Amino acid sequence: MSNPREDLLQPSLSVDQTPLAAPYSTGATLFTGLFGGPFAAFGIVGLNALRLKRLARDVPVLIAALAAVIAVIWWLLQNPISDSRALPRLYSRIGGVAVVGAGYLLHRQQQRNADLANLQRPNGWVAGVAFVIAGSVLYGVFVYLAL
Amino acid sequence: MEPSSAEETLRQVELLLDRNRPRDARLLLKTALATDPENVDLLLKSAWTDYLLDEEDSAIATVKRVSTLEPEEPSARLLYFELLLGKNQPVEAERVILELLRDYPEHSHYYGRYAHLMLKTLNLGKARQLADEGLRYDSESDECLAVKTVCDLIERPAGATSQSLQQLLARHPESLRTLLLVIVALEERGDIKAAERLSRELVQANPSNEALVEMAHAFRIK
Repeated sequence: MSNPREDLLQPSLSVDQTPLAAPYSTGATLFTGLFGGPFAAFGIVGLNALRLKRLARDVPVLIAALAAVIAVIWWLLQNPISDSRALPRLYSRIGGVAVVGAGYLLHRQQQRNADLANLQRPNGWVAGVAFVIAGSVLYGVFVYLAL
Repeated sequence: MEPSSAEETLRQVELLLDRNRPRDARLLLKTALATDPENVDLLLKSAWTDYLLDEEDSAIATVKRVSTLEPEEPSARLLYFELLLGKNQPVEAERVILELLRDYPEHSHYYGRYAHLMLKTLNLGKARQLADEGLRYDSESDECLAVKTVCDLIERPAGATSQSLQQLLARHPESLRTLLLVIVALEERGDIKAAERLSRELVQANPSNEALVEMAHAFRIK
Protein backbone atom coordinates (compact mmCIF):
# COMPACT_ATOMS: atom_id res chain seq x y z
CA MET A 1 0.00 0.00 0.00
CA SER A 2 1.51 3.37 -0.98
CA ASN A 3 2.17 5.98 1.67
CA PRO A 4 0.25 9.17 0.75
CA ARG A 5 2.91 11.41 2.30
CA GLU A 6 5.62 9.60 0.38
CA ASP A 7 3.61 10.12 -2.82
CA LEU A 8 3.46 13.84 -2.06
CA LEU A 9 7.22 13.96 -1.71
CA GLN A 10 7.84 12.66 -5.23
CA PRO A 11 9.06 15.33 -7.64
CA SER A 12 6.45 16.80 -9.97
CA LEU A 13 8.87 18.85 -12.03
CA SER A 14 11.43 17.15 -14.20
CA VAL A 15 14.51 18.19 -16.16
CA ASP A 16 13.24 16.03 -19.02
CA GLN A 17 10.00 17.93 -19.29
CA THR A 18 9.53 21.65 -19.04
CA PRO A 19 7.17 22.62 -16.20
CA LEU A 20 3.71 23.87 -17.09
CA ALA A 21 3.95 27.30 -18.68
CA ALA A 22 1.60 30.17 -17.92
CA PRO A 23 -1.12 30.46 -20.58
CA TYR A 24 -1.74 33.54 -22.73
CA SER A 25 -3.90 35.94 -20.77
CA THR A 26 -7.67 36.04 -21.15
CA GLY A 27 -7.24 39.50 -22.66
CA ALA A 28 -4.91 38.22 -25.36
CA THR A 29 -7.16 35.26 -26.21
CA LEU A 30 -10.23 37.49 -26.31
CA PHE A 31 -8.50 39.96 -28.62
CA THR A 32 -7.45 37.11 -30.91
CA GLY A 33 -10.94 35.61 -31.03
CA LEU A 34 -12.67 38.95 -31.50
CA PHE A 35 -10.52 40.08 -34.41
CA GLY A 36 -9.47 36.74 -35.85
CA GLY A 37 -12.69 34.77 -35.66
CA PRO A 38 -13.34 31.19 -34.59
CA PHE A 39 -10.33 29.64 -36.33
CA ALA A 40 -7.95 32.11 -34.69
CA ALA A 41 -9.63 31.50 -31.33
CA PHE A 42 -9.19 27.76 -31.79
CA GLY A 43 -5.50 28.32 -32.51
CA ILE A 44 -4.68 30.41 -29.48
CA VAL A 45 -6.77 28.37 -27.05
CA GLY A 46 -5.15 25.23 -28.46
CA LEU A 47 -1.75 26.83 -27.86
CA ASN A 48 -2.78 27.47 -24.26
CA ALA A 49 -3.73 23.81 -23.93
CA LEU A 50 -0.28 22.87 -25.23
CA ARG A 51 1.44 25.17 -22.72
CA LEU A 52 -0.65 23.64 -19.93
CA LYS A 53 0.17 20.10 -21.16
CA ARG A 54 -3.50 19.19 -21.65
CA LEU A 55 -3.70 19.11 -25.41
CA ALA A 56 -5.03 15.55 -25.61
CA ARG A 57 -7.75 16.36 -23.09
CA ASP A 58 -8.83 19.71 -24.52
CA VAL A 59 -8.56 19.31 -28.30
CA PRO A 60 -11.69 17.13 -28.68
CA VAL A 61 -13.72 19.72 -26.74
CA LEU A 62 -12.27 22.58 -28.75
CA ILE A 63 -12.88 20.80 -32.05
CA ALA A 64 -16.49 20.20 -31.00
CA ALA A 65 -16.88 23.87 -30.06
CA LEU A 66 -15.33 25.03 -33.34
CA ALA A 67 -17.45 22.61 -35.36
CA ALA A 68 -20.63 23.79 -33.65
CA VAL A 69 -19.78 27.46 -34.21
CA ILE A 70 -18.85 26.87 -37.87
CA ALA A 71 -22.05 24.86 -38.44
CA VAL A 72 -24.18 27.69 -37.01
CA ILE A 73 -22.37 30.32 -39.07
CA TRP A 74 -22.70 28.17 -42.19
CA TRP A 75 -26.45 27.89 -41.63
CA LEU A 76 -26.76 31.64 -41.01
CA LEU A 77 -24.86 32.42 -44.22
CA GLN A 78 -27.10 30.04 -46.14
CA ASN A 79 -30.21 31.64 -44.60
CA PRO A 80 -29.30 35.33 -44.36
CA ILE A 81 -31.43 37.52 -42.12
CA SER A 82 -30.51 40.63 -44.12
CA ASP A 83 -28.51 41.78 -47.12
CA SER A 84 -25.91 43.52 -44.98
CA ARG A 85 -22.36 42.76 -46.07
CA ALA A 86 -21.22 43.21 -42.49
CA LEU A 87 -22.95 40.02 -41.37
CA PRO A 88 -20.05 37.59 -42.05
CA ARG A 89 -17.70 39.82 -40.04
CA LEU A 90 -20.24 40.02 -37.21
CA TYR A 91 -20.65 36.23 -37.20
CA SER A 92 -16.86 35.88 -37.14
CA ARG A 93 -16.58 38.03 -34.02
CA ILE A 94 -19.40 36.27 -32.21
CA GLY A 95 -18.06 32.87 -33.22
CA GLY A 96 -14.55 33.82 -32.13
CA VAL A 97 -15.77 34.94 -28.73
CA ALA A 98 -17.79 31.73 -28.39
CA VAL A 99 -14.72 29.55 -28.97
CA VAL A 100 -12.70 31.74 -26.59
CA GLY A 101 -15.49 31.22 -24.06
CA ALA A 102 -15.20 27.45 -24.41
CA GLY A 103 -11.46 27.79 -23.85
CA TYR A 104 -12.03 29.92 -20.78
CA LEU A 105 -14.33 27.30 -19.26
CA LEU A 106 -11.63 24.67 -19.83
CA HIS A 107 -8.76 26.76 -18.44
CA ARG A 108 -10.35 29.14 -15.93
CA GLN A 109 -8.63 27.57 -12.92
CA GLN A 110 -5.24 27.75 -14.60
CA GLN A 111 -5.91 31.36 -15.62
CA ARG A 112 -6.86 32.29 -12.06
CA ASN A 113 -3.86 30.35 -10.71
CA ALA A 114 -1.56 32.27 -13.04
CA ASP A 115 -3.10 35.59 -11.97
CA LEU A 116 -2.98 34.92 -8.24
CA ALA A 117 0.51 33.42 -8.36
CA ASN A 118 1.59 36.50 -10.33
CA LEU A 119 3.12 34.40 -13.10
CA GLN A 120 4.72 36.11 -16.04
CA ARG A 121 2.50 35.70 -19.08
CA PRO A 122 3.87 35.18 -22.56
CA ASN A 123 3.71 38.21 -24.83
CA GLY A 124 0.34 37.89 -26.57
CA TRP A 125 1.10 40.20 -29.47
CA VAL A 126 3.17 37.87 -31.64
CA ALA A 127 0.91 34.83 -31.30
CA GLY A 128 -2.22 36.99 -31.31
CA VAL A 129 -1.40 38.81 -34.53
CA ALA A 130 -0.24 35.60 -36.22
CA PHE A 131 -3.47 33.80 -35.33
CA VAL A 132 -5.60 36.81 -36.32
CA ILE A 133 -4.00 36.87 -39.77
CA ALA A 134 -4.19 33.10 -40.27
CA GLY A 135 -7.68 32.88 -38.80
CA SER A 136 -8.98 35.72 -40.96
CA VAL A 137 -7.65 34.03 -44.11
CA LEU A 138 -9.24 30.70 -43.15
CA TYR A 139 -12.52 32.37 -42.30
CA GLY A 140 -12.45 34.25 -45.61
CA VAL A 141 -12.10 30.96 -47.48
CA PHE A 142 -14.92 29.48 -45.40
CA VAL A 143 -17.25 32.41 -46.19
CA TYR A 144 -16.37 32.15 -49.90
CA LEU A 145 -17.30 28.48 -49.89
CA ALA A 146 -20.48 29.09 -47.92
CA LEU A 147 -21.86 31.85 -50.12
CA MET B 1 30.37 34.59 30.13
CA GLU B 2 30.73 37.51 27.73
CA PRO B 3 29.25 37.08 24.24
CA SER B 4 31.76 36.48 21.49
CA SER B 5 32.37 39.20 18.95
CA ALA B 6 30.39 37.19 16.36
CA GLU B 7 27.45 36.77 18.73
CA GLU B 8 27.46 40.47 19.53
CA THR B 9 27.59 41.29 15.81
CA LEU B 10 24.65 39.00 15.12
CA ARG B 11 22.66 40.61 17.92
CA GLN B 12 23.33 44.07 16.51
CA VAL B 13 22.48 42.88 12.99
CA GLU B 14 19.11 41.57 14.24
CA LEU B 15 18.38 44.94 15.81
CA LEU B 16 19.24 46.71 12.56
CA LEU B 17 17.07 44.36 10.52
CA ASP B 18 14.18 44.88 12.95
CA ARG B 19 14.57 48.60 12.32
CA ASN B 20 14.51 47.97 8.55
CA ARG B 21 18.16 48.94 8.05
CA PRO B 22 19.51 46.02 6.01
CA ARG B 23 22.31 48.05 4.36
CA ASP B 24 23.74 48.98 7.76
CA ALA B 25 23.38 45.36 8.80
CA ARG B 26 25.35 44.24 5.76
CA LEU B 27 28.16 46.72 6.50
CA LEU B 28 28.41 45.41 10.03
CA LEU B 29 28.53 41.82 8.77
CA LYS B 30 31.18 42.67 6.18
CA THR B 31 33.41 44.10 8.93
CA ALA B 32 32.91 41.06 11.15
CA LEU B 33 33.57 38.62 8.29
CA ALA B 34 36.84 40.38 7.48
CA THR B 35 38.24 39.07 10.79
CA ASP B 36 36.25 35.80 10.91
CA PRO B 37 35.67 34.79 7.28
CA GLU B 38 34.60 31.21 7.94
CA ASN B 39 32.07 31.85 10.67
CA VAL B 40 28.98 30.01 9.40
CA ASP B 41 26.49 32.07 11.42
CA LEU B 42 27.88 35.34 10.08
CA LEU B 43 28.00 34.01 6.53
CA LEU B 44 24.42 32.79 6.77
CA LYS B 45 23.16 36.08 8.13
CA SER B 46 25.08 37.87 5.38
CA ALA B 47 23.43 35.68 2.74
CA TRP B 48 19.93 36.33 4.15
CA THR B 49 20.67 40.07 4.29
CA ASP B 50 21.77 40.05 0.63
CA TYR B 51 18.55 38.22 -0.18
CA LEU B 52 16.53 40.93 1.57
CA LEU B 53 18.41 43.51 -0.48
CA ASP B 54 17.59 41.61 -3.73
CA GLU B 55 21.31 40.94 -4.29
CA GLU B 56 20.67 37.40 -5.40
CA ASP B 57 24.00 36.62 -7.01
CA SER B 58 25.89 37.66 -3.90
CA ALA B 59 23.47 35.68 -1.73
CA ILE B 60 23.91 32.56 -3.88
CA ALA B 61 27.70 32.82 -3.69
CA THR B 62 27.57 33.12 0.11
CA VAL B 63 25.06 30.29 0.49
CA LYS B 64 27.31 28.02 -1.55
CA ARG B 65 30.18 28.89 0.73
CA VAL B 66 28.09 27.96 3.76
CA SER B 67 27.19 24.68 2.05
CA THR B 68 30.84 23.74 1.69
CA LEU B 69 31.44 24.45 5.39
CA GLU B 70 28.20 22.92 6.68
CA PRO B 71 26.36 21.02 3.96
CA GLU B 72 23.41 20.04 6.18
CA GLU B 73 22.66 23.54 7.49
CA PRO B 74 18.86 23.81 7.00
CA SER B 75 18.59 27.60 6.96
CA ALA B 76 21.18 27.78 4.16
CA ARG B 77 19.32 25.12 2.18
CA LEU B 78 16.02 26.98 2.64
CA LEU B 79 17.62 30.22 1.47
CA TYR B 80 19.05 28.41 -1.55
CA PHE B 81 15.52 27.20 -2.35
CA GLU B 82 14.19 30.78 -2.12
CA LEU B 83 16.97 32.04 -4.38
CA LEU B 84 16.30 29.33 -6.97
CA LEU B 85 12.63 30.27 -6.88
CA GLY B 86 13.55 33.90 -7.49
CA LYS B 87 15.80 32.89 -10.38
CA ASN B 88 12.94 30.88 -11.91
CA GLN B 89 14.67 27.53 -11.60
CA PRO B 90 11.72 25.46 -10.35
CA VAL B 91 13.16 22.00 -11.06
CA GLU B 92 16.27 22.59 -8.95
CA ALA B 93 14.21 24.41 -6.30
CA GLU B 94 11.97 21.35 -6.01
CA ARG B 95 15.00 19.10 -5.55
CA VAL B 96 16.27 21.27 -2.69
CA ILE B 97 12.94 21.51 -0.85
CA LEU B 98 12.31 17.77 -1.22
CA GLU B 99 15.68 17.04 0.40
CA LEU B 100 14.77 19.37 3.27
CA LEU B 101 11.43 17.65 3.73
CA ARG B 102 13.06 14.22 3.75
CA ASP B 103 15.39 15.40 6.54
CA TYR B 104 12.67 17.33 8.42
CA PRO B 105 9.39 15.56 7.53
CA GLU B 106 7.30 17.41 10.14
CA HIS B 107 8.38 20.93 9.35
CA SER B 108 5.21 22.71 8.24
CA HIS B 109 7.02 25.76 6.84
CA TYR B 110 8.80 23.55 4.28
CA TYR B 111 5.47 22.06 3.19
CA GLY B 112 4.15 25.58 2.81
CA ARG B 113 7.06 26.68 0.66
CA TYR B 114 6.85 23.56 -1.49
CA ALA B 115 3.13 24.23 -1.89
CA HIS B 116 3.98 27.78 -2.96
CA LEU B 117 6.33 26.35 -5.62
CA MET B 118 3.53 24.11 -6.84
CA LEU B 119 1.24 27.15 -7.17
CA LYS B 120 3.93 28.91 -9.17
CA THR B 121 4.10 25.92 -11.51
CA LEU B 122 0.32 25.58 -11.84
CA ASN B 123 0.11 22.31 -9.89
CA LEU B 124 -2.96 23.39 -7.95
CA GLY B 125 -4.03 20.00 -6.61
CA LYS B 126 -0.62 19.16 -5.20
CA ALA B 127 -0.31 22.66 -3.70
CA ARG B 128 -3.48 22.08 -1.70
CA GLN B 129 -2.41 18.60 -0.60
CA LEU B 130 0.96 19.89 0.59
CA ALA B 131 -0.66 22.74 2.50
CA ASP B 132 -3.03 20.26 4.17
CA GLU B 133 -0.11 18.03 5.11
CA GLY B 134 1.77 20.98 6.62
CA LEU B 135 -1.28 21.98 8.64
CA ARG B 136 -1.37 18.49 10.18
CA TYR B 137 1.92 19.31 11.91
CA ASP B 138 1.12 22.93 12.71
CA SER B 139 -2.48 24.03 12.36
CA GLU B 140 -1.44 27.70 12.62
CA SER B 141 1.22 27.68 9.91
CA ASP B 142 0.69 30.98 8.10
CA GLU B 143 2.54 29.70 5.05
CA CYS B 144 0.21 26.70 4.63
CA LEU B 145 -2.91 28.72 5.43
CA ALA B 146 -1.93 31.33 2.84
CA VAL B 147 -1.49 28.68 0.14
CA LYS B 148 -4.84 27.11 1.02
CA THR B 149 -6.47 30.52 0.83
CA VAL B 150 -5.05 31.09 -2.65
CA CYS B 151 -6.28 27.63 -3.68
CA ASP B 152 -9.76 28.52 -2.35
CA LEU B 153 -9.74 31.81 -4.25
CA ILE B 154 -8.80 29.96 -7.45
CA GLU B 155 -11.27 27.11 -7.12
CA ARG B 156 -14.35 28.66 -5.57
CA PRO B 157 -16.75 31.10 -7.13
CA ALA B 158 -16.80 34.70 -5.96
CA GLY B 159 -18.69 35.15 -2.72
CA ALA B 160 -17.74 31.79 -1.23
CA THR B 161 -15.99 32.11 2.12
CA SER B 162 -12.50 30.72 2.56
CA GLN B 163 -12.10 29.04 5.92
CA SER B 164 -8.35 29.28 5.53
CA LEU B 165 -8.58 33.04 5.09
CA GLN B 166 -10.70 33.25 8.23
CA GLN B 167 -8.06 31.26 10.12
CA LEU B 168 -5.32 33.49 8.76
CA LEU B 169 -7.22 36.56 9.94
CA ALA B 170 -7.72 35.04 13.36
CA ARG B 171 -4.11 33.91 13.84
CA HIS B 172 -2.02 36.31 11.78
CA PRO B 173 -4.19 39.44 11.50
CA GLU B 174 -1.35 41.90 11.05
CA SER B 175 0.65 39.93 8.53
CA LEU B 176 1.03 41.80 5.24
CA ARG B 177 0.34 38.63 3.32
CA THR B 178 -2.95 38.09 5.19
CA LEU B 179 -4.07 41.61 4.37
CA LEU B 180 -3.10 41.21 0.70
CA LEU B 181 -5.19 38.05 0.50
CA VAL B 182 -8.11 39.90 2.11
CA ILE B 183 -7.82 42.54 -0.60
CA VAL B 184 -7.89 39.87 -3.30
CA ALA B 185 -10.88 38.17 -1.65
CA LEU B 186 -12.76 41.49 -1.43
CA GLU B 187 -12.06 42.17 -5.07
CA GLU B 188 -13.26 38.68 -6.02
CA ARG B 189 -16.51 39.32 -4.16
CA GLY B 190 -16.99 42.58 -6.07
CA ASP B 191 -16.37 44.83 -3.05
CA ILE B 192 -13.93 47.04 -4.98
CA LYS B 193 -14.34 50.06 -2.69
CA ALA B 194 -13.37 48.12 0.42
CA ALA B 195 -10.45 46.49 -1.42
CA GLU B 196 -9.22 49.89 -2.60
CA ARG B 197 -9.58 51.41 0.87
CA LEU B 198 -7.59 48.61 2.46
CA SER B 199 -4.89 48.76 -0.22
CA ARG B 200 -4.52 52.52 0.35
CA GLU B 201 -4.11 51.99 4.09
CA LEU B 202 -1.48 49.34 3.47
CA VAL B 203 0.44 51.68 1.16
CA GLN B 204 0.38 54.38 3.84
CA ALA B 205 1.84 51.92 6.33
CA ASN B 206 4.37 50.50 3.81
CA PRO B 207 5.17 53.30 1.35
CA SER B 208 8.36 51.65 0.05
CA ASN B 209 6.60 48.39 -0.91
CA GLU B 210 6.42 48.58 -4.72
CA ALA B 211 3.94 45.73 -5.08
CA LEU B 212 1.47 47.50 -2.78
CA VAL B 213 1.85 50.81 -4.58
CA GLU B 214 1.18 49.07 -7.91
CA MET B 215 -1.90 47.35 -6.51
CA ALA B 216 -3.31 50.62 -5.13
CA HIS B 217 -2.63 52.29 -8.48
CA ALA B 218 -4.46 49.50 -10.31
CA PHE B 219 -7.53 50.07 -8.14
CA ARG B 220 -7.47 53.77 -8.99
CA ILE B 221 -7.46 52.90 -12.70
CA LYS B 222 -10.45 50.61 -12.19
